[in-house]
Parts: sequence; structure tokens; C-alpha cells
Amino acid sequence: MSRLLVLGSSHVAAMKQAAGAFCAECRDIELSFFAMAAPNFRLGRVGKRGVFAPHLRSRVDRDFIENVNGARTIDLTTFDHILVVGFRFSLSDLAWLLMDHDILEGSDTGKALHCSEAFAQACIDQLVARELSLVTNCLGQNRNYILTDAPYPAVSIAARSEEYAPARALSAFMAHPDAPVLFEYWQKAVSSAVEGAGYRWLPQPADTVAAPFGTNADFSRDAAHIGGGGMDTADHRHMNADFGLKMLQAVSMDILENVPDTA
Amino acid sequence: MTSSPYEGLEPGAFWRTGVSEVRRFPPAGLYQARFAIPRDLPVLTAGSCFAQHVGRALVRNGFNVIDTEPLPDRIANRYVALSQKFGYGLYSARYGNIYTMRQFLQLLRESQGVFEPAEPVWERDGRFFDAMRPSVEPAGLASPELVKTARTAHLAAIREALSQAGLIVFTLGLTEAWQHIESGTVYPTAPGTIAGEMDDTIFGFVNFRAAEIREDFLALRDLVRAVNPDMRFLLTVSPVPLTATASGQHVLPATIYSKSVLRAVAGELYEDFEDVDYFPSYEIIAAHPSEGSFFEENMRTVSARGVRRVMRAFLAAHGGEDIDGETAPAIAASPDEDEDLVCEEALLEAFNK
Repeated sequence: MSRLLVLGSSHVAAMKQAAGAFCAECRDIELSFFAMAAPNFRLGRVGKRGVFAPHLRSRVDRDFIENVNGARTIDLTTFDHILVVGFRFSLSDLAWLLMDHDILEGSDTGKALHCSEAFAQACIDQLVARELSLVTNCLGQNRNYILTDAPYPAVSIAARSEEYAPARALSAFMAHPDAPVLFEYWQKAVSSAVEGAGYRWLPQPADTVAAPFGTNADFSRDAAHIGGGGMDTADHRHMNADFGLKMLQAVSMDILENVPDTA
Repeated sequence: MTSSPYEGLEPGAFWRTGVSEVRRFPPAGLYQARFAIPRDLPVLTAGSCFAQHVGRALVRNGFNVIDTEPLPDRIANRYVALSQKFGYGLYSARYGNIYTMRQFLQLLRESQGVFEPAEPVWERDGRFFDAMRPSVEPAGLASPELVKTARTAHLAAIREALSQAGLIVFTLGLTEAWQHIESGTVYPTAPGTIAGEMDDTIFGFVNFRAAEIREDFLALRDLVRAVNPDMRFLLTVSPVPLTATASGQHVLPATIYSKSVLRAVAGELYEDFEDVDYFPSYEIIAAHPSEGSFFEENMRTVSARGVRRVMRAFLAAHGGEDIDGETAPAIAASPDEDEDLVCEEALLEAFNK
């Protein structure tokens, strides 16, 4: 029996929803969860003795975490593997860049300005490094961590383009002819940085990806909130149990090399 | 009975009351603006490394500094050093540092289609660089065609900047430059420094004389006034010494000579033209009353404190009296700001081995 903890932000909810289905498939993995809001998680710390303590801004934070998890902290030393979800090596900045810039070496989409591919790549390198510093500050040295990114926004976020500028930028990026090249560069940069820091990296499963940095919208329907209940239909960032199951299966098969019992 | 012509002059006219007995440096009244700069007046900034300080301070203090090759705010604010490394946010377009008046004149002429630089693309290790602004793509581009495409767009951005501008703030940096011998095209860096290859049958050293710099300015003034007859100019001289000289002189007298020439030209232009103002940043930083205290240990890099003093004097004359450089974060340079400055000239130091 292997003990797997899923530790992280609100994106843990998708995996918690899938726990029943996953455990039926993989009976030799015992699942546990510890989740909180992103700011509590991302600025939390793993102490010298291996206990993760969230970053608490208020009594409300503390009560919420206790209500969700039954505890305010969690001892990581009792787990064989820890799947960390909630850091976001987001490509949003690139999406904003491509709103009014074309890539010099890429396609002409009629933008008034252009930048070089080298500049776009340098931005990616920097955003990855910046997020990685948060990761290392939070997690410290490796303790069988398996990192995965927060899910890419659902492609359905385009529905909010008119009233929500970030949605406009993200959906434009997903449809941009040069996005696949930048997305591939970003994937390699993230993987290389995370593994270079000594952690294992689990990319979002390819069959959940519908566009560069875009998740198939089917996975955002009926997404759950970590505090219980469902996410707003305008969310498009949190995923459902089907997505959670895909993630857990990926951990099991790709990282732990465990074949499901149902096979 | 005629009294002395010095009688009754302002205290600032006398060294004792204007400098040596003044407790605060720079002393009040050191700079009196010839004309006001309304906050909404579109300002085009250009010049040598020190001009980056001036441009940033203008932006921070709400002046309408033109940027026709901007990044989205989100990128500009989150990737400040990176953006500057690629020439964004330094000046009114991505032309990088312009060290000589000739280079500035060439650039504006090129933007108007009346000048074409010789040897405009330089190569290094299979990558290609815009010889007229080699630092803005630090790793170069994949082909000469891409360099040309980028330059075409850049020239359009300069035309746009010029069409908007009501004031040009230019910092004169150097008299020394490298030029294409046959055509006279002047480059911001020596061939072989960032890219390209030095061939002394093609490229040669030039140390512009005062008369040449003046002529270049007059030609530039004619050009921009054809675009905007009401254009005004604010000139400064960079207090940053030469990193290296190719004049054959020792670098110290070469620096003093170069700055003296630039200061003399700026002074005469101020005397001769009502649309030209001169701001004494050079004097504040480099004159002996400051005892070199506004330079870093290398006695070349202007310290953040020095920049604050300069900008305080500038803002005091241009409606910035409510801002105290010592306390206002709005104009306080960050401790590492000097490291952020993009200065190709500093690359010459790498050749001093």
C-alpha cells in the first residue's frame, strides 16, 4: 500500500471528487487530501520537521482550513508521495503580450506591434523562474513531491471575453497561430525548471488539453469547490471529477508506474 | 561714475554665495527653465545611457513621455529589467542609446526616408543584429531579413513618435564614434563589440568636433521643425565618463575634452535659439563641488543619489516642487537601478583585459 497525499489549492477539489473512482481502480494507493485557498497555500511553508503550515491571513482562513481538512497543518513525513497542485506557471502574461504584438518570426495577424520570439521566450523563462522561487520557498527540499500545474483555463473561458479582459487575452492566445510553439517552449521550460529543482513534474494529461494552455471545456462542467458545493459557471478555471480522475491516473501510471486494477 | 557690472547681481552669479557657502547642493536657482513643460506636452526622449534616468524620472513624475513601441502594462511592470534589456521602455521608441548627435540625425533622416545606413546588418555566431541598435535584440535574430523587417516597423514607430512630439529631450553623450568610411554612416557601437567585425578598411574612428555637432543639430532641428514648427528642445550633457577612448589620448583628458565639446555646443545652441533649453545635469554630477560623491566606486556610474539630485533640480523648475527626491519613492531610483541601465558603451570594459 502506497500513501499519496494531494496537497494544494482549490484545484485539489477535482481530485477529491474523483477519489472514489480512483480508489476503485487502484486499491493499493491510499489517498489523502489537504487543501486550502491559493494564497494560503502558495505562501505556506514546509517546516524543518516536514510539517506543512498554510499562510494564514486571518481567523477566517484558519477556520476554513480546519473545517475543510480537520486540521490546520499536515505532517508530510507520513506519505510516500505528495502530489502538489496549485502553483501556476501561468502563460497569462504571454497572452497579454500577444494581444497587441505579433511574433516577428511567426505569423502576421495584423497586430500593430511585434516582438521577437527571443523576447517571448525570455518572458517565459522569467515567469517560470519567478513561480519556481515560490515553489521552493513553500516546499523546501524534495520530499517525494510530484508537482503539477494548476489546470489550464477551460477553452470555454472565451464565452466571457466581452466582459472579462483576462478571458479575452487567454482565449485569443489559445487561438493564436504562434501559441503552439510558445506553449511547447513553456512546457519544456517548466518541466526543466521543476526537475532541475529536484522535484518530479507531472504535466497536465494531453487528452485533457484542447488548445495551447486551454483545457477541454467538458472538464470544467460541475467543478467542485473545496469548501463544498459547485463552482460558479463563469469560473472556467476549476475542473471536475473527470479531470481529477485523469490527473490521479496520470500520477499512478506515469509517475508511480502503477497499472490500474481494472486493466 | 559707473558702478561695477557685477554689482546687484543675484547671489547665484557669485561663486561664494552661489556655491561655496550654499549648504545644499545643487544650489537653488542652478537651473531656471527657459520654457515650461506642461504635463500633457508629448515628450520624445533620446540620448546616451544617462538619458534613461531622465526619461524614467519624467514618466514617474507624470510627464507625457511618448512610447510608440510599448509593451502591455502588465509586461512592462512585471518584467522591467528584461523589457529594458530588449530596448523597451527606455526611450520613445526602441532605438536604444543614441550617443552622438550625428547618430540621432541619421536616425531621424532614415525615418523620413532620406538616409539609408551602410552595412545595416551585423552578424555574430550565425545571428544577425541591427547595426544601428545592436543591443535591443541581445541574441540577435535568425536572418538579415528579420532584422530588416523589424527595422522597417521601428522606423514607422519613430515617425509616429516624431509626429506626436512637442519637445525633444536629448542627452549628448559622446563625441567619439565609429563610422563607415565610405558613406559616413555612424554606429552606436564599434564593430566587433556586440556584433559585426572590425575591418579598418571599412570602418574608421571619428571624434566629432564642436562645429560638426552644431551643424548636425541644426540639420536635425530643421528636419523636426518641418514636422512640427513648434518643436522645442531640452539638451543635457551626460556626466558619465567615457568607458574607453580610441582617440589615442588617456581616457581622462579624452573624457574632459569630449564633455567640454558637448557642453560648449549645448551652451551655444542655448544662446542662439529660443526653442533650446539646457539643463545642467552634467554640472550637478561632475563639477568639482560635488567632489565625485554622485558617482559609484568606479567613478563612472552615476549613483542613485546623484540621479535623485539631478531630477530634484529638474522638477523644481518644472512644477515638481512638491516632490522631494530624498523621500519620494516616485523618483527614488531603486538600489539596483544602475545595474538596469542599458549601456553598450560599458561593454567596452569587457575588452579591457
